[in-house]
Formats: sequence, structure tokens, C-alpha cells
Amino acid sequence: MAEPSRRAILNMIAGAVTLPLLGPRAIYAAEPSAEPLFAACVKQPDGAYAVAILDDAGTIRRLHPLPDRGHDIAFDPVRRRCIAFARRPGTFAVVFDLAGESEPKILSSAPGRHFYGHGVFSADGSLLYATENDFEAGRGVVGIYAAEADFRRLGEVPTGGVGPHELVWLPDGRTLAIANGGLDTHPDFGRVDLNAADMAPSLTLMDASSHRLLASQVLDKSLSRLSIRHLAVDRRGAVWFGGQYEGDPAEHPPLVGRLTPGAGVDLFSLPPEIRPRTRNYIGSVAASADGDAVAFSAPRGNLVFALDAASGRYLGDAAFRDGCGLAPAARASGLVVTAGTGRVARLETADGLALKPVAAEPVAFDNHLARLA
Amino acid sequence: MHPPSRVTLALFAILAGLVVPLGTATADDDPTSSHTTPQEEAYSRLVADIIADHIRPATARFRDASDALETAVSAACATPSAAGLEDARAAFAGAVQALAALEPLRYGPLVEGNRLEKLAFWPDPRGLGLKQVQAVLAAEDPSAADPATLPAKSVAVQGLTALEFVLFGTGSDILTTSGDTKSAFRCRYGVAIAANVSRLATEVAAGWQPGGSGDVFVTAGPDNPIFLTHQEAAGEMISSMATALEIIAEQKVKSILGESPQRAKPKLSAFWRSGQTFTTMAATLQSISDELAASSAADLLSADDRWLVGAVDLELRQARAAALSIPADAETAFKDQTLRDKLGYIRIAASSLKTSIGQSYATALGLQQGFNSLDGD
Repeated sequence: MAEPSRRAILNMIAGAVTLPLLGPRAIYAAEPSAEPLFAACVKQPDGAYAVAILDDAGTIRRLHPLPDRGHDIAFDPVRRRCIAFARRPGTFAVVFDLAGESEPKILSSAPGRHFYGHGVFSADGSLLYATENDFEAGRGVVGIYAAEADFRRLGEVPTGGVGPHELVWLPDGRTLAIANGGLDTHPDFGRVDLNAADMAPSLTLMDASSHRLLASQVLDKSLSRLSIRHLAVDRRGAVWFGGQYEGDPAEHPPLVGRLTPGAGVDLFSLPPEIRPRTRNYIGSVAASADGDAVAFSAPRGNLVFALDAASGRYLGDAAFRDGCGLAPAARASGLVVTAGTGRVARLETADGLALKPVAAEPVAFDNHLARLA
Repeated sequence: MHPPSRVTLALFAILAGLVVPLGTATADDDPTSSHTTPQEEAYSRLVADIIADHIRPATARFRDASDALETAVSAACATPSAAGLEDARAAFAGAVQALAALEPLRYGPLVEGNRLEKLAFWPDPRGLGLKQVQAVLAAEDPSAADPATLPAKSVAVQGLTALEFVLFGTGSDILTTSGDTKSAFRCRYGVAIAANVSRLATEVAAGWQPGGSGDVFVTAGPDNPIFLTHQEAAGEMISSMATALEIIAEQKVKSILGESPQRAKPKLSAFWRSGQTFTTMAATLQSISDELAASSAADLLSADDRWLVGAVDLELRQARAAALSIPADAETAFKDQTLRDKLGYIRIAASSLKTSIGQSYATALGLQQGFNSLDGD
């Protein structure tokens, strides 16, 4: 993927004053409202990339242009601003405020580093943490930025693994859970896995203020090719993860697991008839708004499924073509799921798993959906 | 010199308020509901034809070339001579070319058990393979020179990329002389690698015979651990051809070319020591032509889409001819401006072929994958 030139980025800043893009509906819908908003990176029909802001009905309210393909979005609830990260091995991140009052800001990753596509703000919005690759050394780091000081990069902390991907806060607001996917890549060869035969994925807990690694959970050797990529935290503070299995596709290892801090990891096998349908690939993980259910998307299998967070019981599954992005909905036991087809659906986990399409937008929703507070 | 960037174009579209619908999204979202039996039979035939008429012959050729390599390296080491080393190097080239023809088959027996990484450890941007092979030679590590223990060592020291250094790299001239422990060890290590390659190649070929692990491609259904439908199996085969083209465009050409001759990295090329960087590209392109010809894909296309067959074949032939016209020395090829232009053409052709096969062909055959499922993270 071409690196956007500096000039192209400057052009983008100059032009990106969050214009209403979708006609009158969008203009009127842009009024402030108390209902939750969502954000997702998208590809537009002309091939351009953007961040879409969606309302609770799945309707796109605004599009914020991106210089290239984005991945996930972090939200600062204090200043109500978002940062969208380039998809790995991209080197840009774009900050914009929801109200559109200030111009977007483009960050570049530090020399010798690229972004992995995920990041989080601290609860007070003052610090930003992003997973990055120190690619000459082939080690994962969390880059730390002063969000109140023009996103100056304060430094970095090793993640204790290779190929870190998503990171999430534990409920204490000071411990970060980091998925070290285990895949070594180098920008000279884009997204190519350089160590498929020699992976060691792990799930690391880090104290964000002392930068101390508190624990690193490595999977059993037999699961060394299960790349831990995506995370969500349930009501009890357990970290759920979804994996992507890089090994023999005829094998069906458990793809989802739960780390209960202080109590270790449980792996969950899916019902036998579902295992082949996942294609051994989980694209996103999210908890329901009440944190009692955890949903997983398997876009290669056109499938979403959910587990009861407390018991690990399989709640059910639903077919959803190219569905990937997941976020908690407004309602207690609900979630929202987005698809590459442009469709948006509600998931209801109160009684099994029910999927109800609610919108179809003229974009391709990318891998992740973020709820904005 | 840059064409108008995507960003500029995007901006234009945004300012003009152009938002074109992607298409109706009102179709049933249950992707399992659309299969009809005649289509499934056609997909099943497409897969069976590719296996019988392309994969089995191609994997048998690689097995035979690897057998010949083992024989030649053993003979060269039994009685070291310049002629023996030349024979071994020629047999090496034969095996590497035969492996290049398997590049579009990155599934099933070739990738199980990390066989492909073991056969060729590439790409290797940090030169780990070279360091490890040099360490084996320096330490005269006996476990690397024994075919029984070599497979348990790093994947980077047991395949054709390692053997290339043994046969072509610095110090390989000592293979023409006998008597000292250094040349004897280098020879034993070379024989062990050749034996390992031959074993892996035999496993790949056997895996595609009836009863082998490749059977999952012809037994789609509820009990199949990978493919629910023949459509999925056919889709895997078509998309793997597109992947091989992307690897040529992005990894084998673009990554090495760099932005200028000064920033080119010819030593990151595949098989540059043996002068096979461009002939292997040609072999892969030829293999894709062969695979498409072996498949009954053309029969599945509607009259409106049938032009794709000729267009794709022509572009494959032109790209292959361009690859074969480039001199073997990668250092020269990636730094000389005229040759860089030719490589630029190969990159564009391979990239366009990737789209033709991975999107146009796949769509015409009803095999296109979605945005997230095709290229997720």
C-alpha cells in the first residue's frame, strides 16, 4: 500500500472540514443528540478511505477523510475527539473532534516504528497509548503520547512480545491488556508473516503508570500458531480474546479465550458444527453494553456468535455476510455489527443470539466498530 | 512525478458530493442459502480438473527435480570436482524452478507442517537465514549435517534458500576440493539439506494423490473440516493464484526496487545467488497460465465474461516474456534504469493480473470474497 505523501496529507487537512456528505438527511442528523454514536473506518465506492460516524440507527452522519486505509478508532470522551489509526504497517493516525470545530491533525509514527491499527486514550484523555512495531528489532512496543501536548511522543514500552495488536483497559483504568499476536513483519515486505513457523503469541497485562509488565500469558505450545489479536472486557473485568489460527486449516483449535486476572486463562471450544464455519479466523470481539455477553465475528465464515461471559456458555450464532465490526449497543444486552457489504445490524443476546439488519450504507465497513462513549 | 494521489481524488469526490451506491444490499444475508446443485457440480469439476491436470503433474515434477538434486549433490560430494559442483548447481536450479511453479498452490500439502517455509525461507528482510546458515558452517554443527536431525532445526537452515548459500555462496568453491574438514562438512550439510528437500517434496506430491490431505478439496460438505461447499474450495484455488501474483508485484518487485536505484535492495531478492530471481517469476507466471488452462473455468464464464480468458492469458505471457528478458544478475537488474522500468512493467502487469483473476474472474465465477474476509487483520 502506498505511503501517503506529506503533501497529500497536507492537502487532506486543508480540505477536510467534515462536510456533510450524504445529503440533507445527514445535515439535519448532525445536530447534537444524546444517543450513542459509533465510528468505523470505511472504504468508499470511489476507493477513498474515511472514518464514518454512525448513529444508533446505523445511519452514517459524517465522513472524515483518511489518507489511506484505516483500522480502529480510539475515543477521548473528555474532549470528544477520535483518533483513527492506519492499518498495519501504516504510519499515520488522524485526530479529529466530533463537533468538527478544529482541523484534523495527522500524526506520523516515530522513525523505525509503524502503527498496528489500535490504540486507547487514558480515561482523562491526557495520554494516548498505541501498539507499534519496532521493526528492525522485530519487537512490539506501546507508544505513549501526550494527547494534551499536541500528541508529542513521550516514549515507548515493550509489550513483551511480537506483533502487538489490540489493547484494552481493565476496569481499574490503570492496567492495559495487550494482545501480542506473535506475527513478525517488516515494512519492506508489507504484511507478510516472517515467522509463521516460529510464533509465540501472548496476552500481556501492563501497569500503564509504572510501565511494568504485570503478567504475560503465553498459550500452550500446541497453540503457538493461534495469533491473539482482538480483545474485549466483560462485566467482571475478565479479558476475552479472539484468535486467528495460522496453522493447519483442517485443525480446529479453540479460537476464543478468557483471561481472568489472577485466575489464568480458559479456552472455549465452539460447538463442533460451528468450528469449520469460522475458518479459524476471528475479526473482532466486543462485550454487550451490560458486559454479560461477549460477541465474536468470523468474517471469512460470514458468521457472528456470542458466549455468556460468566459461564462461557455458547449463546448462538447468526449468518451475516462479511460481518466484522462489533461494538456494544445502547441497550443492555445488545451489540451493533457492521459488514463489508455496508450493512449494519443489531445483535440481541438476551435470549440466544438474534440478528436484525437495521441499515445499509453505501460504504464498505472495515474491520472494527467503536462506540463513542 | 506522482500521479494525482488517491487523497486528491477522494477530496474531489467529497467536495463534489459524489457518493455512489456500492450496489443493493437487500439480498438475503445468509450466505449459505444461495447454492444450487448445478453450480456446485461445476465448482466441483473445476477443482477436480485443477488437481488432476495441474497440481499432480506440477508436484510430481518438483518431487522428481528434488530427487535429482539429492542425487547430484551426493555425487558431487562423493568425488568433489568442478564438474560435479556444476551438476549440483544445475540440479539445484531445476528444483528451484519446479518449486516456483508451486507458488500459486499455497494451501493444502504445500503449507501443512510449515513445508513451504522449510523449503524456502523467504522473505527474510533481516537476513536471519544467512546468519543461521553461516553459524552452522562456522560451528560445523553435526546436527545440521544429519538428515535425521536437520528437520528439527530452524526452518531457515533446512531448505533451498540454505542450500543455495552452500552451493553458490561465499566459500562454495571449496566444494570442488576434498581433504579438509571444512569442505567435508559443507558437503555433508548440503547433502542433508538436499535429502530434506527431497523428503518434503515427496510429501507434497503424495499429499495430492487420492487419500492424501488434499482430498479436503474434493470432499466439500458438512463433514469436511475446511470446505462446506465446492464453491469455497474453488474460491481458495482462484484466490491463491491472485496471491501469487500479488507476491510477485509487491514483494518480489516493489519491495526490492525501492524508490530509486540507490534504495534498491537486490540482496533481499529470492534466489539471487543462483541467478534465478527472474526465471522463478517466469516459472510462477507460466504455472498460473497452466492452472487456468487445466481448469474448466472458461466453461463456467458467461459469454459476456469469456473475453477475460484471452486477456488474462495474453498478459501472463507478456509478463513472463519480460521476466525472461531480464539478465540473471539481480544487482544489475534492480539498479539499471532501463531494467528497473522493465521490472516496473512486471509489477504493474502482475498487479493487474491479480485484480483480473482475484476480482474479475472470481466475480464472474461467483467466487468473490468480501472486504473483511478477503483482507482482514
